Amino acid sequence: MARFFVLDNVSYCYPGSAKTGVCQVNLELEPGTFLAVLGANGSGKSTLARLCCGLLKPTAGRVLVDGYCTANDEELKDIYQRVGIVFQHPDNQFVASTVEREIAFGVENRIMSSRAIRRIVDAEMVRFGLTALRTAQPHSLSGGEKRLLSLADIWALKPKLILVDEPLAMLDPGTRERITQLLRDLRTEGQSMIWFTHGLAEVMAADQVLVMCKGRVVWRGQPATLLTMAEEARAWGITLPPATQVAYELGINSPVVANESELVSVLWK
Amino acid sequence: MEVKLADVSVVYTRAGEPPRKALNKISFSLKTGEAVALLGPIGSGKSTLLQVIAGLRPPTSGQISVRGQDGPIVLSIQEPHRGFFAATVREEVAFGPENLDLDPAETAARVEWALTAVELPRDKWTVSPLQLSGGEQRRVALASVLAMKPRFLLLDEPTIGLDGPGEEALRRILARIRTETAISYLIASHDPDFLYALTNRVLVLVDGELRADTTWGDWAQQAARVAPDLKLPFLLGLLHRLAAAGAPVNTAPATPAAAWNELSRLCRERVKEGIG
Amino acid sequence: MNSVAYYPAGSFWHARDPRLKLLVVLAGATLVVTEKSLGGQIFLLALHLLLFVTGQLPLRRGWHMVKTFRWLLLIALLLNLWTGSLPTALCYLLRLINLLLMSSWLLGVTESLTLIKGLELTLLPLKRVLPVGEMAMVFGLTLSFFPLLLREAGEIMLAQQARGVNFKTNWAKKMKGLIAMVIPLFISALRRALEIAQAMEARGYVPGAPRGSLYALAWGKKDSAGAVLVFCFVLVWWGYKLIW
Repeated sequence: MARFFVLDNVSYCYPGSAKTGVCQVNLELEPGTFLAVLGANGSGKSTLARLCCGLLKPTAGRVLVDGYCTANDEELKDIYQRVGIVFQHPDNQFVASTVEREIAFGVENRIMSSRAIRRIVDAEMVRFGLTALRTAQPHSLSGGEKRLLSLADIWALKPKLILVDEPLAMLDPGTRERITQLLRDLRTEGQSMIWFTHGLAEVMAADQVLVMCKGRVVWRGQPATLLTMAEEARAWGITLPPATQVAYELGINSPVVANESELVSVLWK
Repeated sequence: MEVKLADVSVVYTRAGEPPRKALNKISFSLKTGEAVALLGPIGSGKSTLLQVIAGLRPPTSGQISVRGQDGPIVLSIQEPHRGFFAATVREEVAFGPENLDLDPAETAARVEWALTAVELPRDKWTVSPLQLSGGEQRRVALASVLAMKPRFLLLDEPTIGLDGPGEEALRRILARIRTETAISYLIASHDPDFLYALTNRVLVLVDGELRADTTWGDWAQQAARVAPDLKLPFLLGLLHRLAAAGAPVNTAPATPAAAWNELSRLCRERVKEGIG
Repeated sequence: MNSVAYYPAGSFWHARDPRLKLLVVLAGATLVVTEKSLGGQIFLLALHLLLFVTGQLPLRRGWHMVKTFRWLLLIALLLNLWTGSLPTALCYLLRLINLLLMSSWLLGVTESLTLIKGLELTLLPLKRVLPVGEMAMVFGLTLSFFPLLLREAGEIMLAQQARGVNFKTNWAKKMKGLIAMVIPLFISALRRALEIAQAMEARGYVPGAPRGSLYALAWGKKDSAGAVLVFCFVLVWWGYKLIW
């Protein structure tokens, strides 16, 4: 039985450019894992996301999904069926002119009957609360609705592994809350996920964290451990939860503070 | 110099849609030397208000008047690096001053000053702005408006798309420029922490209406009542929760430094108690 | 920019097969282009307005379309006035307006992916000589990206105006202002195109490969009746022209 998802010494250099790629990344995921990849802008995390789903081919090393290799063009179809990616800018992901056709687009590529496509599209519209917007134009939606639609697009394809690139960027607090909750629900359903971001607060529920800096994996471990590493986090350019940061600057070393409530109880029991 | 808005309204009309009121009877004035935060949820009319003040969008009704013209009012739009077109960073930054019809020597001096002010290393002045990193592009975009020597600089969501270090660098640069020049800021953002560190007056816009025009300390007191969906700066929110839990803290510090003082004081007292 | 965007509604025309609608547009455009009398063009204008009404599109949409192209229309009118008489100039103007209305109607009552499918099926006989699937997709994407690009153009214009671009100065400055508009727009369009191509690929799209569809295209009785009606109308129109 082939292993689920493997990065085997993966490197990528951008041709003819000084832009940082990624350098010798190794990773193996069990099905059902929630992995967080943390890194500043330009740390190589977006490049890594594109390598994981086959949109970029490694210049060295291999990316394997259920035994299929992204380097082989004939196997890309099988990779795309198994790995879905939600891009950072929803606007650049939309192809159709109504919400329901947009969700249907990926499913349509799988050559199913109209009734089967309809069933999937309707279910995803309910899950993501988009049913009332069925015939709205994707580009005319609000920022939060666009984000929901971009997630629904990919969830409709039921990929085994979902990659999300900064899914909470440019959203107001209410929408952030809603999307975090949705992603949490999906996780409890056993969905494998890799979440790329620069803020630790978003991914405290991750099983494992991988920190990238200048194209290299510089640390891996549990998210809670990172809370005690304010100096390193600063050097890597990743953002700790604000409560942790404040506790660090006030010189409070123990207990470790992860959120505002904990900070309040440390400062005033 | 003073910019005064009186009952400014903007109504958008688009084919096949009902007219939408983006701004509703906004009145306030801005004076030289101020640093003002424009807070509000996404879609509350912040961008429209900035465009009106910059003179790029005529209000549907109401007046906007400028007294004592001694420098331009310049807007830097959201994700301003989208406007890059020149072959080198230096030319990109020179574009604004050139449009002001300055002589070449003055333009060159301003470019030099602006690029130094945004802390861009000199070896990057002659490369294409598109080759720079995201954070550097933002700083070049800031330099390109600074080189016009604005009296009022209007910034629309300057932190969108920046990571922690990028935001911190921008905050440091903006703070330093304000102490070195007579510039005034009006900064629209949904990120209250960024604004708290840079500004001393708060305008709150919700659904196109001006809901508050006040100080940070005062805003912290009324935020829950006026706009419960808006986040407070983390430090102010923390002090409020501490006060609610019974801690003796001032919940209305006007600046982050004052807020830190409150927290440190509380910390020291806890330690003393611990010893006693 | 809503005058070329899809306008969701439940009208007779929304429910029709895209191939029928393409046929209507093809027939309409042929008549508009070949009709030389002012009366004929006015008659066709009335027909197009009827299409708008039966497609439940607001007439304001048509007006907006005409307004968007007002400079082009004005220049065409003036040129024709200069070279010909008032009726011929008006006839020419109406011809352009009719064509604009027609495209606005088609795009309003047909969702872009459906239109792509319709185009693909219509052009199917040419499949051996042309990459029909790719062509249809590129066409459809251009349509759905058009409003986005216009918005981007508006914002870039704002950015450059804020940096002092002024089109009322001398020619050299005007040119530089124009360059400062066009280059960023081009860069942004290119970047978007690359990203969208990647997004489509990642969702399993293969150009020209067979695809399913949320709405199966089923050519119904009403479509056949419509097609017959269109043919009859064209024949009657030309017959009438021939006899008189």
